Amino acid sequence: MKRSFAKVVIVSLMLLLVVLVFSTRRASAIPSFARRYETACTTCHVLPPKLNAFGVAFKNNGYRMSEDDEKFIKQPDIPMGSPGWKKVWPKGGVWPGAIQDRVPLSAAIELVTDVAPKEPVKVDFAFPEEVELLMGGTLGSRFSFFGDLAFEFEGGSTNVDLERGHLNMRLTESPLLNLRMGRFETGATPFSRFTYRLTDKDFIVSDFRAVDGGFRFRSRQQGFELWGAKNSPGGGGLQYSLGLVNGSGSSNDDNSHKDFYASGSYKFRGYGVAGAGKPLDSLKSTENYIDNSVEVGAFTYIGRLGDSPSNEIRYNRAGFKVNAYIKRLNLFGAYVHGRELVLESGPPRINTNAWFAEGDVVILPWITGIFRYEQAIGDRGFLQVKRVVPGVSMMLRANIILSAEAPVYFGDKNSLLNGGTEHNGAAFRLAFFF
Amino acid sequence: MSASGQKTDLANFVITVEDIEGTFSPPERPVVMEQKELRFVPHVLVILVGTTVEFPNKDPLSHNIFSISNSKRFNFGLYSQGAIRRLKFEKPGVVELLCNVHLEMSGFIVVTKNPYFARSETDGSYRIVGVPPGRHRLRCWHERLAAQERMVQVPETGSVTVDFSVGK
Repeated sequence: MKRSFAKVVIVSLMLLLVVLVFSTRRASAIPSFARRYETACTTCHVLPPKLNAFGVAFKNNGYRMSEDDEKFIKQPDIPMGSPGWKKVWPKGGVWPGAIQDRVPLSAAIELVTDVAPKEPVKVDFAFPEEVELLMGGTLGSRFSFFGDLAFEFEGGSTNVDLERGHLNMRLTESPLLNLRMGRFETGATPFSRFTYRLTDKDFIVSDFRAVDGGFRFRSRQQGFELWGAKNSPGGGGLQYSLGLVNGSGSSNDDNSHKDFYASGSYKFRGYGVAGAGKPLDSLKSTENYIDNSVEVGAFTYIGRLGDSPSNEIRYNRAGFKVNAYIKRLNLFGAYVHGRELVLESGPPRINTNAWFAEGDVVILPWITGIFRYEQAIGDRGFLQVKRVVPGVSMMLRANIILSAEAPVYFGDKNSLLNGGTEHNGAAFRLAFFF
Repeated sequence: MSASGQKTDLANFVITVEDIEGTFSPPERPVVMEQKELRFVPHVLVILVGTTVEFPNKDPLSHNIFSISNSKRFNFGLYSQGAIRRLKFEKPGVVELLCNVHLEMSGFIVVTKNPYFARSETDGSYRIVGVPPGRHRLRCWHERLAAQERMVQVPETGSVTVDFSVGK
């Protein structure tokens, strides 16, 4: 009996180990920043890629430390002109700039195991599922950039996708006013899939389409965005964005209308959204997940797809979000109301209501538990998705992430979320960054 | 007075005693600031008002040194290896030097009102001798950092240490 029990325990542990080895996450942490400042990923991330408050401020400052950036940089920039030329310009010379000493390139590799007990393929290994080249940094004191080139391996083919590629220009001394241009995730997206999401499953509020081929927040857009962040005296602060984009996702525009969006949020207490507001003695890499605060925000998005009455879809989104940190617990969620006007056929207006609520808890500094409930219901009847997404994510090292999740659907699994069928099962992932 | 440095790369801080007035004779011989290997050597030069500075070009190419600083505006024009330009600095202040040919070249001449000044060494230490006893205001300047000031009581004899904090 004892020997049999021991054998079962050993086998179970081995299976668990095997399962846990194959686990990945959509990568968006960028080790080139770690190299530039010679600091651990946990300086800016609760657990990559989810940013902590310091990381949000770093991003809001154009991928720089909010205060005394120069003193923390371990790889000094190569100057292109002495600062004294600023006083000579514009009558003479070129405004001095800088370029980073080393090419700010990082890589991320994701290995995925999908488990779907009720599907024909019950266990599927995608090794790798994706390889990403990540690049980001600064060009002097006013410009910064970010790029994300993904190679996705699926069904024997390789898809190459420039997920993000944008240049940012700071228009004011503080991060109050910036201009971003390129391909990016819009500021109206309730919670970023790149800097906030810890699961493979995207937030449903970003993922749902009300109609086939229609708009969804998760599509990166091409265009311009004015955005900014400002601290408030009591901590936290204001963040906003205004954007004008193609609206057709990462493709070239299919009509002359541009999509417009606006968002704003206010954070009460906690770390300043634009930084500490005072000189930093050193970079802290521990317990940065604690940031007692509440943030509330609202957003709206208006756009149009198609170039004729036969294929035109007009849509808008509006909603609000809440993001609260209470010691080790992060409770957050969003509600989105969507309205589509499809001129082609059928009842022209489609209303969709989607919302989610998630709790992330830092169990140990290297383990975060995740639980999310979300749903998206359209009034035409073919979008009825309700699911919970429990999961766990672990830092084996600061740049090696192991995670598992097991979404459970309560509604219709046939959805328009990704143009396919969702299924109960599990996803196990290993992601490593370098 | 002296200070202890705590970090490397602490050279070229200029410490001056601000509130000692008087008439002080500048050195008879010019002070030299070379152009060498596409740099100003020294990068920061501290002089008493009224001092003449020589600018020899020690590079195998031409330079065009100029400044638009309020305390001294000048433009030497292009001059080649071996040539020397001279200039007297008659107003206190910070003069930033640039080269119109080589954009990365920069240097500073800090012109002081009195001879009580020092430029820090690479370890951050500095030494100012002969300061009259009494209470004085010290100022620490650096080309990129905000200036700092400290009050100091200089004794009749001996020395006093004043540290400036410059962060990480």
